[in-house]
Amino acid sequence: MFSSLSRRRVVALLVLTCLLLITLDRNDNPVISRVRRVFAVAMEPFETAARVVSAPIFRAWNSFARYDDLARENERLRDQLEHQRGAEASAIANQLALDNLLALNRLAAAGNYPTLLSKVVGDAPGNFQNTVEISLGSADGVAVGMPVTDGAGLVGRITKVKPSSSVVLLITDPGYSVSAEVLMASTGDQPTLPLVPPISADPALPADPALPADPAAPPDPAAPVDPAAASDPPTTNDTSAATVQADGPLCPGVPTSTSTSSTTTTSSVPAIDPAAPPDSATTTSTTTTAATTTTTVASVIRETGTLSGQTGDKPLLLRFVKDTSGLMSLCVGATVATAGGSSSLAPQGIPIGRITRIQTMNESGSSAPLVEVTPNAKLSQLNFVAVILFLPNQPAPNQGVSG
Amino acid sequence: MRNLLLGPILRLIPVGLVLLGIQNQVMANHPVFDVRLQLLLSMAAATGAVSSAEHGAVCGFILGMMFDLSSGQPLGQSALAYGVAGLAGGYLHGLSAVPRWWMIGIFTGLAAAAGEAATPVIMLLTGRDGWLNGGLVRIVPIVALGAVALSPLLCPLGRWSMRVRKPQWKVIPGDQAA
Repeated sequence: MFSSLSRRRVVALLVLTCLLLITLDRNDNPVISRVRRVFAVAMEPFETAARVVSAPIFRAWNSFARYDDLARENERLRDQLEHQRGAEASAIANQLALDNLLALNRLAAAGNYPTLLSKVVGDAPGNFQNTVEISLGSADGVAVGMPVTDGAGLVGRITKVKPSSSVVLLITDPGYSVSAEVLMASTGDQPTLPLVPPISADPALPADPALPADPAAPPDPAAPVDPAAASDPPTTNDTSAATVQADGPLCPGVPTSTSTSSTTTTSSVPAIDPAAPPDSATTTSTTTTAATTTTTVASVIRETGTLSGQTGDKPLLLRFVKDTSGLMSLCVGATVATAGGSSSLAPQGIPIGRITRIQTMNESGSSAPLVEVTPNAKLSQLNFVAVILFLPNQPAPNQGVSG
Repeated sequence: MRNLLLGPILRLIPVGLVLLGIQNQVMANHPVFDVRLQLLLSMAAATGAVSSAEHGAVCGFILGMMFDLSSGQPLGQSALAYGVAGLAGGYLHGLSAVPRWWMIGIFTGLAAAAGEAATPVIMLLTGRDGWLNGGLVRIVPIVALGAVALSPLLCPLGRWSMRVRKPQWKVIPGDQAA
């Protein structure tokens, strides 16, 4: 076969071909895109055959080897489900309150966009990709660029769409990047607070039927739902449930790894001035801990940056756009969410994770801190995800509705 | 060129499609110590280890192209890495005139390790940094051991796919008498 070509020529030919193809593909050559689509269609029967043949074998093996684990997990999940039912009612009430407040402020949130639920059907075939495959494709309305979430937070974005399946690039991939913002509440006497659910029972505010009548504060729907935390009654914060390993200034109120349990009753309604920009929304909160009641006036601080993955199990890295004075007040435990904006890849307000480490001096020499963020979503255990039907530069369905 | 196109490729492409289906559905979803074994890479390495560097490189190139088309990575990236694996297998094969079966297994493992280690380097050269890190220390040996374990299956398959005949050794009557 290779009698006419020497070894060196064969190798040189192959290397040059590869480099040419890489160059063409990096420039989004339409021919290559078409070949990919055709190849995806051609691969479908082979993948289906492999799945059909291998599934019973692996199921049989799992039923034999993992029976005890599955029984234990089933028991634990049943227990968790019972607790979740109790938390569900307050979560619904809280969602109603959030919708009402967003409508008052005319804000676009992730909840305004329709979503499609999908099952995770596959993992990345290689070791140098952080992707998963989901069961929805272009036939279902999924398009490249749409953000994907699970119950806890942002999971990634669609990077490849086939007729009946799609590939999601996870937020931990080094190629992933999204504009994000740190949400903190600053008070007069304390430098920062982690953004807590807007809670208050201020009698001066007009009564809103959509707001929860019970002064007991439901959890923040924008915040990640920790199953362990959600298993408690809504008025009880068990600080041992969700803990943060502090590696930097800790936000007040953030539970640390010290196992202390406290019962805190909180209730509030945010005082929102419709004329005020969202960044300066003032929240009046009443916090009752044990028998002591303290009232603080807090304002939300938003610091915007770019969040990118670092491969595998490593936390995400948040690099700030501007070196502002607000960065000095960053604290471990603060919530990180998508920043939105006209050119953003995701709508505003999708929770991403929490700050777990703050490096005040980074390698680039900038004085802006380098922040590590641990995602809320358990990316290694994804079963179901929701595709948000959002594309950049697309207005939210109910944006601009006069109130 | 006609031989090149009509000879091995006609066999290799269907074999590659089947292996790719297994890679995407079985190997991807059942990692070993959090590392996904690389069937196509192992096949390229095994083909090189039982034939020659040229055969291994061509086999790796074609299988890598198929992997790139399927996985959405830049076309040619895995082709280059798998080509390196096939080439390395062929070079190792050339170290011994008649390699024993266990030597072929070791050659396959070493070549697969070279290919897997080359992947993040090529990614770095094409502008996708972040993968060249300590994780390779765990990934490369497991992929190599997986290739060694699969080599008894993949070596004959690679030889058949690339139409490589087993070397036949004949005893010359004159030598026998001597």
